[in-house]
Amino acid sequence: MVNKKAQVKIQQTAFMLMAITLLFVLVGLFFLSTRFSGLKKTTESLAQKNAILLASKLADSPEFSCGESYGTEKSNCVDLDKVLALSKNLVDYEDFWGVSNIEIRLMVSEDEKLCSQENYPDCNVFRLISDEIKGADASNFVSVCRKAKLAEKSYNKCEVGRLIISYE
Amino acid sequence: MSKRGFLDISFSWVFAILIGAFILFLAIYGVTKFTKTASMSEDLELSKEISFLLNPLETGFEQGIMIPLKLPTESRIKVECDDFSEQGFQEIIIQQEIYNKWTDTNTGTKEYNKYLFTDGFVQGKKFYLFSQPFEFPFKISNLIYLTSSDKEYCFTGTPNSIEDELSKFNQSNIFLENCESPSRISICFGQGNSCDINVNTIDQSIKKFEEETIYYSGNALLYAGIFSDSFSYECQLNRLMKRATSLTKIYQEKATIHSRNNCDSYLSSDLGKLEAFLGTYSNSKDLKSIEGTINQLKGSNQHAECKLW
Repeated sequence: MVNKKAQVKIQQTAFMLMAITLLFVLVGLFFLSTRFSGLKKTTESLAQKNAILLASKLADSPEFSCGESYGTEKSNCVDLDKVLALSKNLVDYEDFWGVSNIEIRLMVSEDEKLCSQENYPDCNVFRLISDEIKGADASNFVSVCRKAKLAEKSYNKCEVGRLIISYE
Repeated sequence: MSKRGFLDISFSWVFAILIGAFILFLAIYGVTKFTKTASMSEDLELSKEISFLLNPLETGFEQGIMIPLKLPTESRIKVECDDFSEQGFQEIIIQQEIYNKWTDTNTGTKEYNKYLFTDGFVQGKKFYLFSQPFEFPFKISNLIYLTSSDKEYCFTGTPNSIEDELSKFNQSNIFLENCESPSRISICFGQGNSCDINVNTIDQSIKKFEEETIYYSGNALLYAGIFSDSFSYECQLNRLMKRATSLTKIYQEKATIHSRNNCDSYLSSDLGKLEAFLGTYSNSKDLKSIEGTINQLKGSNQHAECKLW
């Protein structure tokens, strides 16, 4: 009889301790999940911040900027001839800007015509890195310039465009 | 007759103590691990924030601007450079002092398109950042220099152009006189005794105490040499040369596109020479040999009917 009573007591203690352990584990898991969701949010907001900053500054980086090619030095101006040259040498720029895609869109027409080495300059959208657009994006209005030819004479052709940065 | 032991403790007590100790151990282990992860994530977040702060300095037109950076705790900013991959990268690693102990974060924020020059790790609560464009002969990037307010630099015998430029930054840890104080790092242009850093403007070299002589071309690299150690200088310069190679290819391609539009720049042959030089570049000592071509390219582009940059 005494033995049975003791066994019940041991069982009681064991169950109680197991319940306490479980409670601790659950509280820990809840705390960790809250913390990690916070971290995920921070990562997302940092990626967004990076894309916004990049969209506002990328046009002035040496791979895109007009420099003095189209008159005086211009800020927020994308050299489309350079972008075409860059698209041919993209292997050198893997992960360079840390974004999933860079798009330059001319605001001239609604119809989307992707640019390639073959159809340039009869196109209006340049997609570097990938042909697909994934994730969220940040954009900035820029002037887009290139050299064009009229009656065998070259001239500077500048239009309004949008520089769109996609990130995941 | 039941036998009793020396300690009269029931099994349930032994069981409870064992499990209790186990729970306590788990809790202490968990809290320690969590604190470590939390400080690591804080360090990483801070390194990311610093890398964002570099954005306006990296691509901006602005020159001669200085950005002060204040951190809430005593911190170490370390920039590790890797020049092996396609364009190489730098990694900004932050360590913060919490309760007299440095956090131990070995991972940081990788940057492929920025060039930050520091002398080893910089330590303090307040830091200064300033940038200069590096052109070779076209713009490669803005070089960014990071110093701690705890480290004072004093320049003597400085050429007027550099003195004017430095005074524009209005950086409180840069002095252009009273270099006698032993706590200040003395930078001497030309002949100078007992200087920490000697700059020879004739053969464009910088010699630091117990470090290899490094060579520069232009003011941007001169500051890079002064404010960084020779190892990271050579590494970051290698990365810059890799970017210069890629940009040379882009400009060669652009020259072809322009010539299709009856707009020649006549720079192809010099760009070819530059590409050949960059293909064989090994360290800063090689810079001198390409100076003629760089100047020629600069002049030719300036006077070209269709400028490439």
